Amino acid sequence: MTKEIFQQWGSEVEDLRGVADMHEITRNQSYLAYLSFAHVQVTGARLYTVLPDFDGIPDYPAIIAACLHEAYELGREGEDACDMSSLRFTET
Amino acid sequence: MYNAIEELQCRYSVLINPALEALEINDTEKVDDLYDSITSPESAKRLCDFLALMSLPTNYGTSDDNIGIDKLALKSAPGTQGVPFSTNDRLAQMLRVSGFIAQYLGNNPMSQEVEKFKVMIGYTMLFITLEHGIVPAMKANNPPLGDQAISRQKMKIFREQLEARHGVRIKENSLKEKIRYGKVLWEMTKMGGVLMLPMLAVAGPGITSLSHDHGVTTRHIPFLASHLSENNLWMAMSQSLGPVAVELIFSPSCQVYTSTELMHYLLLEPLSAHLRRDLHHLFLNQADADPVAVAQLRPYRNPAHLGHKAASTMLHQFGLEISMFPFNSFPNPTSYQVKLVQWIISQDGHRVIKLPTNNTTSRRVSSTVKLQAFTSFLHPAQIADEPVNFLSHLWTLRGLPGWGMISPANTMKALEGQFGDDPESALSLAAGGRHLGVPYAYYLLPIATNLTILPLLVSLTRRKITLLVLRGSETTIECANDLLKVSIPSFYK
Repeated sequence: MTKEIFQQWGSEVEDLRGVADMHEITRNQSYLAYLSFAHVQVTGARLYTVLPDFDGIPDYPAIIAACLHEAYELGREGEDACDMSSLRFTET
Repeated sequence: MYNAIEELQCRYSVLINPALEALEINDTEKVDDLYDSITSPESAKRLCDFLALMSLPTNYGTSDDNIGIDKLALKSAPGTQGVPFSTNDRLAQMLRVSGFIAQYLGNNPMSQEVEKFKVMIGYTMLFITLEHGIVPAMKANNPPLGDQAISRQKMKIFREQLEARHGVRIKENSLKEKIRYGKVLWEMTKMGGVLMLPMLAVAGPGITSLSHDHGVTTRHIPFLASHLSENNLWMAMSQSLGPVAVELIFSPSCQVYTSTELMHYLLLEPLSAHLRRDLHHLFLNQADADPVAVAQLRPYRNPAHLGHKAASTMLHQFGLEISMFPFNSFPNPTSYQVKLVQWIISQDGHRVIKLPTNNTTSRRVSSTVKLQAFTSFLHPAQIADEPVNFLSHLWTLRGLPGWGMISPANTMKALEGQFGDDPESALSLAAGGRHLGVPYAYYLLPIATNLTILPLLVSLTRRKITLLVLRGSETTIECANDLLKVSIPSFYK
């Protein structure tokens, strides 16, 4: 893979809709915003912590909580417990 | 910020709900069978097919078509009864009929379910009319009737009203039986959510055997509903498809949905990894599924025509409530909230987590990470590489068919040529190998500058790369064609 291959391709720059208010962005915040965006784009699903009627980009606590929740889910393998979160599904 | 994270609900409970166990309801095996049937991914797919079919007025409104039964059955030609056909004639006749049958079945997919659904709606409407039309009218009589008198006379009055309006003779016992089925169906809809009606049509037993063979009585319904309220797939379906069902059943909407579109709505919801994998497999088996088109789902909001609130009040003018979600009469008393920050901070330094076992990806990526690495997500620490790489792989495992998320580390390796010179093979390897047996059509990779991380969308099929820029960030990309010149030197320092 070389950059020359990419440079032969069509390219464009697009605004990331819904991320308009991220002023004074730090690298960390940018990483979390990327993770959140990529999750939505690649899985087609909202993050665990994002409410169904939410239209924008989640705040940082919500993204961090979603990532930690993923770790918690995988870390509790074999435990005799089930996810009861009512946050995921709610009337909008 | 820690408090804000802890406030986000993360609730768990023991698997067996003691409140349900304490009920000591007998004969729950058949209700359990029904529960298993209506909460399977296959049923979810059939529900999408069915709702899409219902949205087509030609299929839902009139299931009859211009092929009569005379063409769908083997019949002798006039005057030939008893005379055996020659082999050729017999084959020709059978093929002629089979041609009609193929046409009929092709034009009427799920015709059995459509007919069953119409009968179910019919029974339900009879019950609703009796209890929410006739009974209130009797109560408003002058002088008002007592409860006992209403109970004694309501069926007779209902029958008389029907006969007077429509000029038909109706047997009271037959009407009672239908209303009894209607009562069970309406109770199930009220307690289990509106999806119960279409779901029972596609996945449940026959209507008459619902209460007989399956032992579903009004006593069992709250038990079933409580189980459903703890089911990930049922709740996701209720969230995404409940309003669609109300729209199609109870509103005058002419909105047409495709099965693929409804499947997309469902996939917008948070679902466990195994459910998502099973749904993707079913989705891929769908003839008109286009894996590439799926991922244009940028908004979180379900784009269905009708909102939840509007859907739940659709029948208010008749004094009826419709719920999208099941009603949990027996909340699990062992439910507890997990404090995620406390939990991650308290983890042993050596404890690792693994990517879920999944044989749908030929994995070439690291599958473990130390839990402690996730503490780098907490302010003011700098986010470490390992958890980001791990989450990239995890989300590719949950990814839509044809979509891959390449980790920062593997992006770097791919751009440096460590996975070879062929772009398709290199990016596929960087994403962890082919997933769900589908070649990747889109990759998302992170491009880093000193200050920010930008998503780069690479479409192999379209030979196009798109850099997505965070508005308000300080990164300046002046010319798209110089994109890689700008980004690569500072990539992931």
